[in-house]
Order: sequence, then C-alpha cells, then structure tokens
Amino acid sequence: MLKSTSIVRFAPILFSVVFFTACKNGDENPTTIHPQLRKSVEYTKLTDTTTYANFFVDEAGAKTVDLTTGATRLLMFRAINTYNGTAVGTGATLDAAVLKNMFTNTGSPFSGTANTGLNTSGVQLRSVTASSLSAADAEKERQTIEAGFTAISTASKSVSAVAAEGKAGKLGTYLVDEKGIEQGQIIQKGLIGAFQLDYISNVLLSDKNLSADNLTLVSGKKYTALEQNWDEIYGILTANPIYGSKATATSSGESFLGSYIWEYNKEDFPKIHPALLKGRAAIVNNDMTVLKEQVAILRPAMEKAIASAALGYLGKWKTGATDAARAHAIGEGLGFIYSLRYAKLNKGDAAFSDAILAGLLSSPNGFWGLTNAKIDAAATAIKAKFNMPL
Amino acid sequence: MTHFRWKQIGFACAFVGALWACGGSGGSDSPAPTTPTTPTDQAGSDRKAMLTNMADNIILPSYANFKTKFDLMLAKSNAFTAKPDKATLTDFRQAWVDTYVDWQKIELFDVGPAEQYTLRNFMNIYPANTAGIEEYIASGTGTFEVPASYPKQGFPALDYLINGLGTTDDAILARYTTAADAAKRIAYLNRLTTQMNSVFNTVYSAWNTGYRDTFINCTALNAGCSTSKLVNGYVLNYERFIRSGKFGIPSGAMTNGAISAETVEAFYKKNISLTLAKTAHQASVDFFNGKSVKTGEQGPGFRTYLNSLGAKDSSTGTLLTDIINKQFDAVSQQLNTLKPNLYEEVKTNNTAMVQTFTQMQKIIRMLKVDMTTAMSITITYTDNDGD
Repeated sequence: MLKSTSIVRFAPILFSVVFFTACKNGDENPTTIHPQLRKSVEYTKLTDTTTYANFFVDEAGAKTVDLTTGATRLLMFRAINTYNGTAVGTGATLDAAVLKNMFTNTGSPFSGTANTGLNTSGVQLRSVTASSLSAADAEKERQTIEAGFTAISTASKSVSAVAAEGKAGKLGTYLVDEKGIEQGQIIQKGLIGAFQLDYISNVLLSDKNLSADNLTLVSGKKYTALEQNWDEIYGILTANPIYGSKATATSSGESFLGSYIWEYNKEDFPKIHPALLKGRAAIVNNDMTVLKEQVAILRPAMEKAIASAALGYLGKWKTGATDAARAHAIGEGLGFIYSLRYAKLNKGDAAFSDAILAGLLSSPNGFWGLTNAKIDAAATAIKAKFNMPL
Repeated sequence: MTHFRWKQIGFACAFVGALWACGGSGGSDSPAPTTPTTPTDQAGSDRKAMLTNMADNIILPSYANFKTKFDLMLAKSNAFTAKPDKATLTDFRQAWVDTYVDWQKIELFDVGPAEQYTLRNFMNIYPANTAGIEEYIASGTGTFEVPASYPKQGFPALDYLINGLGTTDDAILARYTTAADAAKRIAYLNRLTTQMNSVFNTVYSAWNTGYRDTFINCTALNAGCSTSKLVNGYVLNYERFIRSGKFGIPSGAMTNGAISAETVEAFYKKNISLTLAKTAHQASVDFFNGKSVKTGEQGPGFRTYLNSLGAKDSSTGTLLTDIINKQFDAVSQQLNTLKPNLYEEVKTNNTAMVQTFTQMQKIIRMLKVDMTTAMSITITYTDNDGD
C-alpha cells in the first residue's frame, strides 16, 4: 500500500488521526482531501447561540479554542481608547509617550486590574497594525497612528478651554484640536481599520494564513496553527461569548469594529457569529470549501460596515445641529475614511483614502471650513468605490 | 505531497476510523426543505401607495405652494432694495410672513434633495447671528456654505434685517437709505435672497426632474430607501426643530431650566412665533395622516401603513395610530392655550411653554420608538455607539 518512507513521514499524523479518529460518512465532506486531526463537527449542530469558546473540544473533551492572544490585543486597543477618554473625563493631560508604549507594549504601560496581564502578554498592537502592507508602507501607517497620539496629547493641554475656529479645546464633550478635529476618533477609528480590519481581513483571513498547519498541534497547546489563527479573529472582534447576542434595538453590546458591523451593516450582522462558528468547524473538518465560504461572508461584511460607517458619519455632519455634533461626526468619519485603505476587496488603498481626506480638509481651518459640497464629494467617491447606489 | 498520497492516507484513515467507532446518523433522511411560498409583498405595495400619495398630493404641491409665496417674497424684496420706503418695506414684511408660515409646511420633508442639500440649514437656523451678519455686511463678502454661516442667512436673517434694525419703521428705513453702510446692507439683502432662491430651486428642481420617481420606487425597507429616510427626517424635524427649537430651548425645558426667550423663532417679529409653531405642528399631523394638500382628503400615509401593519398597543388593543392622533390633539389643544408671542410667553407664562414641550415629548416617544418599531425602521440620525 504505502511506501515505507511515506509511512515514516506521515506516521505521527496517521497515529493522531487514528487516535482521535473521526467518523466519516462518505457523503459528508466530499471535497475533503486531507486527513483530519479531529472528529468531524456536524455543521447542523451549530446554532446562533453556540458559545464559540466552549463548543470545540478534542477527543478528551478539552477545549481547543484559545482566545487569549486576540482578546489581549482587543484589551490593549480598549486601554488606549480609555486612556484617551481621560482627557475629557478627568481633565487629564495625555502623554504621547504613554500611548506609544501602549501601542508597542513597552515598559509596562498598562495599569488597572483588568489590564495587568497585558504587560507580560508578549504581544503588542503595533506589529500587527497595517501588517498586510509592505514593511515600508506598514511603518508609514504605524507612524500615522502615532502622529495621532502626539496630536491628541497636544490638544489635551487645552481640555479646559472651549474650542473655536483655530483654537483647540472642548466642543460639547468632545476634545478637538485647533482645526476642530477630534483626534481621539481619528485614533480609534483609525485602529479599527489599521488593526482590526487589516489584521483580521487581510492577514488572518488571507489565503496564506488559511493554509497554516492544521494537522499537528502547536507545541504544548491543544490547537493547531490554523485553529489558533481563526480564534485570534474571534478574540479581536468581540469580548462576548456569543458575538452579537447582547444587541438590543438601540445598542450593539459590542465594541469597535464589532459594534459598527451592527450599526452600519445590519444585513450581515446576524451572519457573523454563524460564520465564525462554521469557519471554525470547517477547520476541524479540514473543509476548505466551507471555510472559504465563511471568509466570503466575513471579509465583505467588515468592509461594507466600514464604508457605510464613513458614509453614515458624513451624513451626520449634515444632520448635526451643533458644532459639537458636527465635529464628533466628522471625527468619526475621517477615521473611517482613513480606514478605507484597508478595504482591499474593494480595492481601497492609501491613495484612495488620502485623496478623500485631503478634499475634506482642504481648508486651512479644517473642520471649520467644511461644506456640503466637500461632504458630497467624499460620499460620492466612497459610493463609487464600494459600488453603492449614488 | 501529492493528492494521491493524501487520498491513500485518507482512505486508510477512513478504514481505520470505521473500525474504531462509527456512530452513524441512522440513515434517516433529513426532511426535504420546504420551498417558501412567495408571499405577495403587501407591505411593499402599501409603501409604494404611501410614497406616491405623499409625493404627488403632499410634498410636490406643498413645494409648489411655497414657491409661489417665495417668488412673491423675492419680488417684494427686490422692490424694497430697489427703492427702500415704507410701502415696499410693508409689502416685503407681509410677503416674508406669508412665506415663513408656508416654510413650516415643507421643512418636515427632510428627505432626498432637501436632505442632501440640507435645505433647512440655509433657510431656518435661528437665533440669527446678528454680529456675524453685521460682519458680513461690513466686509461685503463671506461664505454662505459653512455651518457657521447658517445663522447668518435664511428667514431668521431676514427677520433681523426687516424687523430688528430699529424700534421704528423710520429707524429701520434709515439703515437702508441714509446710513453710511446702506448700500452694503442692501447688497447683503440681495445676496441673502439670491442664496435662498438658489438652494431652494436646487431642491425644487431635483424633485421635479426625476427625484419624484426615485422616491416612490425606492420601496425597500432598508436605511437607504425612501420610507426609512422619510421617517427619519420626519421624526428628526418634530424632535429637534418643533419640540426643541420652538419650545424646549427657549423655555429652558432642555437646558436645566435656563430660559432663553431670545431664541424663539421670529424673534424680531415676535407675534408670529405661535403661528409658525402651530403651522409646523399641523403640517406634521396632516403628513402623518396622509392628508392631501390639494383636496384635504386623507390618503395613504403613515396612518394607513401602520394600520395595515396592525400596529396596536399590546395591553389595550388600541390602534397605535389612534393613540398618536390623540396625542397630536393634546398638543394642538395645548398650543391653543398659548398667546401669539412666544417670546412673551416665555417671559410671563413659561409653565405653559414647558407643558407644550412635555406634550410634544410624548409624541416623540410614540413616533421615534413605537412607530419605528412597528415599521421595522432604524432611527439613524442619532449616535448609538456611545463613544
């Protein structure tokens, strides 16, 4: 039957397969060509309320899902956002060096009981920010994020002042710089794109990553490299056991990218948790066909959410009845427009995003010089790029 | 690694696996999927009927009625700037009042071109920024496109310029005749009316050159289609520009009791402020009930659509539309208790102003929560993310 060399070569795998052997009905996964490490998961057993972290177990019943790495990075993102919020919350002057250290996880920058583990986690945000790009381009984008740290730090020195044209300070409850730009939003929405969207969609869901080893366990772990790759997605997207299950009519129950899928892509929002589950099951089943089907749900759904959010906030600049409402709307909008560069399925790139940003901020007074015409030009460009009705 | 080898191994595994243990599914056939019958889209055709009635019998005729008044006002304005005297001023003022009242009947159509071009921002943002207006007059220039310029234009700016420049007509006329900057003031008035005309005509001509068909044919329920946009614009208008703008802010009901009588609509004319509010409220009531501007008959509108959806109060079984109309009536009765000059009402009878706000707040809850829930429409103009 098999040549002896092949047997030697595949013996460990064969052993594993036999040991954890799966029951294969002949018609179950006709496209499966790889042997499986685990017993097959019947897709019909997955429901909308299946808990991601608990469902997938090995033969011994031990959980194979480990969300630590993804969840750690999500907490780091949250920590940066929370720190930025202290400027308005407590009148704190922000330190750009602290923000940069949080970004690179250098010098134990994280504090608070929830975050103590982050300092020793061995992972950081910066290295996975814009990481689908070439090294030079990635470095440029990381520096853009860091420039935001400097800008918000400068603006925070004026937190007790009321902002006006040419003057940093607060508009309502929002801290803006001298051009009326809410740098906290630029950072937050920028990281939604540069970290969450780019890393999930363009790295973890890339063909390269999806061909990671799925036949052997990572040394000392209960998961394969491909399983962990998928689990990282879950951990970065949501801190909830069932993504989307806390949504109400008026609140997503999620944060960052996860909440904007709810708010701006209502159509795909209910498909996300099932796709994450089914994709994980497909990995167990070594079923690349079904796995790719889930990728084809997740990636466009995230890009659509970002593009719709950009359009939504451009619209809210128009409906905003106060400078504060308009400034907050355009702060969010500018951050999302920056992030459109990571919508690679729709051929978003830096040139596309930057041209729109330049158009919106063409006046030296920035936000204060915005007009309907500039907003409309930005919206038209986005709609054309993302094939949305004009 | 070739597929051939993998297949061999897979085969071997399957073989071994079969020996290991195989809990079969028992061979029972899964039930054949039932083909969903295509239901006639009753709600979709109801929306089409509603949108058509709204476009043809309410929105377009209301815009046309407004345009008639507006064009007359522009003519009177031109007559005044050509020859500022008591007669032309009186004519201009009357035309301004008539047009401002009619504006209240179209401000609520915050959908399509009016939404895109933010018509309201160029027509009715108050209180007027009088210092900003004087700066623009003095400089002879200044953009009308940025948000900071919204309170320097539109009906409130005209109010200031024809009613607010002096305590007597002679004093006001002097600003256009003998004052050193009279020519600049006249130029500004002309700039203002030109700007208003330009923005309104952009909206008006879009409705009359294709948007009407786009509007009635976009019958889907998603956020990009007419029903959602219409409902959002309608509720936003009642919430922010009737409830808050006309009552909540001047009375202090929304500002921890800090009253600001000078923020009433038509502050310089003053005695039309109640008429403006009543007209705006009634336009919203009539729009809700699908009442034709041409015939006065009720037709397909939010009322019929909600009834068709079977929207009822779950505990009493009362139709939601009856509940809403009852509350609309309560607001109308409350408005009837007010005197024409809302500035004076804030000063001397503010409790009634606050009560008006409270009655309107009840309507907002019904429209913004109950109506949108029944219609499966999301309010998109608020920020839900809480950041």
